[in-house]
Amino acid sequence: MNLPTTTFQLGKYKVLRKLGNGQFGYVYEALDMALAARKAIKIIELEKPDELLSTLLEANILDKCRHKNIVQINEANVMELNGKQVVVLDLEYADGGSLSSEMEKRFLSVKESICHISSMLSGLEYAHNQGFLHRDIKPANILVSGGVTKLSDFGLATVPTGKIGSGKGYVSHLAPETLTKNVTTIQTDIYASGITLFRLVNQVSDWHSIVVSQKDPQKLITNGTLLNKIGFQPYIPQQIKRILSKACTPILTKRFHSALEMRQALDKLRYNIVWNKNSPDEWSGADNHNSYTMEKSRSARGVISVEFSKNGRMQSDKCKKNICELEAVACMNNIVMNTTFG
Amino acid sequence: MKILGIALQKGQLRYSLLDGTKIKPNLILKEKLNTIALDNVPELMDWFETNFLDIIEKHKPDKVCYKITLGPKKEQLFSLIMPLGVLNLICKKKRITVVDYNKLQFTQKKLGLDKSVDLYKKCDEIFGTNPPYWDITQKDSIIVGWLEL
Ligand SMILES: Nc1ncnc2c1ncn2[C@@H]1O[C@H](COP(=O)(O)OP(=O)(O)O)[C@@H](O)[C@H]1O
Ligand SMILES: [Mg+2]
Repeated sequence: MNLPTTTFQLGKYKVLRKLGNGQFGYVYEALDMALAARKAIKIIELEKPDELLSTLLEANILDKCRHKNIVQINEANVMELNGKQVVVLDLEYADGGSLSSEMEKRFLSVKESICHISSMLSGLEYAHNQGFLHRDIKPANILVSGGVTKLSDFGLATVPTGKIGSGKGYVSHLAPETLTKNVTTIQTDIYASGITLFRLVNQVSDWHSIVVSQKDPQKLITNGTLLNKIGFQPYIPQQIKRILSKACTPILTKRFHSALEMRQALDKLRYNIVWNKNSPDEWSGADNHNSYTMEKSRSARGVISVEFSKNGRMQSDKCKKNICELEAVACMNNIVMNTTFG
Repeated sequence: MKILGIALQKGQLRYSLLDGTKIKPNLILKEKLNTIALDNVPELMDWFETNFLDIIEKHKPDKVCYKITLGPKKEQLFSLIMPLGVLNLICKKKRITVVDYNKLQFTQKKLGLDKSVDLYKKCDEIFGTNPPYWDITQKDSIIVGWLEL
């Protein structure tokens, strides 16, 4: 569909700017002039009139999934645009954007990543309890609204039938059992949640190209070695790797059985220092009472060292002098890995 | 009548779901949830709100009962008492009756039992032993529900 690139009017909406286009619709930031309120509207084109009911399914499901961690639908309408019938979903505007755009903009700490996934899993569990599968859990479908993490885009959602259904669209985080047996279940949503967490903590924005660049991605997915093959950032703590392997194992009896079970594993973690990577050479951290910095420095004579300070005071026991570039990086990664959790 | 019984412990939310009668109570299920860390109180209250709501929406109890700790220490105020304020508010908004019990109100008489009966042992007798985490706190969550049947 060719939509105007500038602002345009659609019923009561003044359409301001494109927020994203996915596979099935276009999402815009819009001003609801009746309420003088900001909204996000998703415009879905109808190819044939008999698609109306199936196109409204996403709206129906969202209406049955009202939860603090699921994006809120206000209404759904059938409207006319450029002489064509379109379905317009009126959604709460998520001012924080999606996690995929967030992770492109900045480093997400391990704690932040986990908090997002934990909240998302609350929403997902609710959807599961209402009888729906999401089937497209990924960073682009997790939004932040007023600081609260929300699961969004139920465009592929369905009731569990065991089969993948219409197979509409490309499913990003294809689970092993979906690949081999073409099934989607609660546990395939768990798998996709695990991949999403992996991407957040490892700063993997472009999943598709990293997967297709592997030699035999299908085999890596089905035998459960994909994540290890892609590799973890060297500062990722063991606790997270364990949770990821439990979320993404191809052995269904060993995988988390519910969103709640996976969320519990995340909620149980106890943080020590929350580290942020400011640049490849500099980290800053904080716990409840103290702030930390850690940086690689090079003296005028070319001597490399790692300087660690707490509340602005150098901690000589944690500093390292006269080391090579690689040792300095490894030293900082190890500190982050070993002090992230309590 | 389906009753949700709740008892808190430092870092844990225990709950049980009961139906039946005082004389013939039936344990439908029991669950233990680990809370997030206790050091950030607003985050912790948000966690309790989410989880109380999720439990209530999932199990749709007719009534909610909880155990309240008498004479809490300062750090227990955050982990054992304040979350119960959140619970009360949720129940009010959802129009579900909510009832509190403290240990002194755990009397055999209310359950039609002889004074010599140990209520915790009686739980094993009636409901069987249900490991894991079949301990005092879990049984507290059962007893508060049982008292309201
Ligand atoms: N309610 C919203 N508030 C803000 N941005 C949104 C909202 N809904 C969607 N978006 C943006 O639009 C993108 C695509 O929306 P989505 O519902 O995922 O559509 P699709 O089914 O086409 O993938 C999202 O990744 C997000 O960046
Ligand atoms: Mg999407």
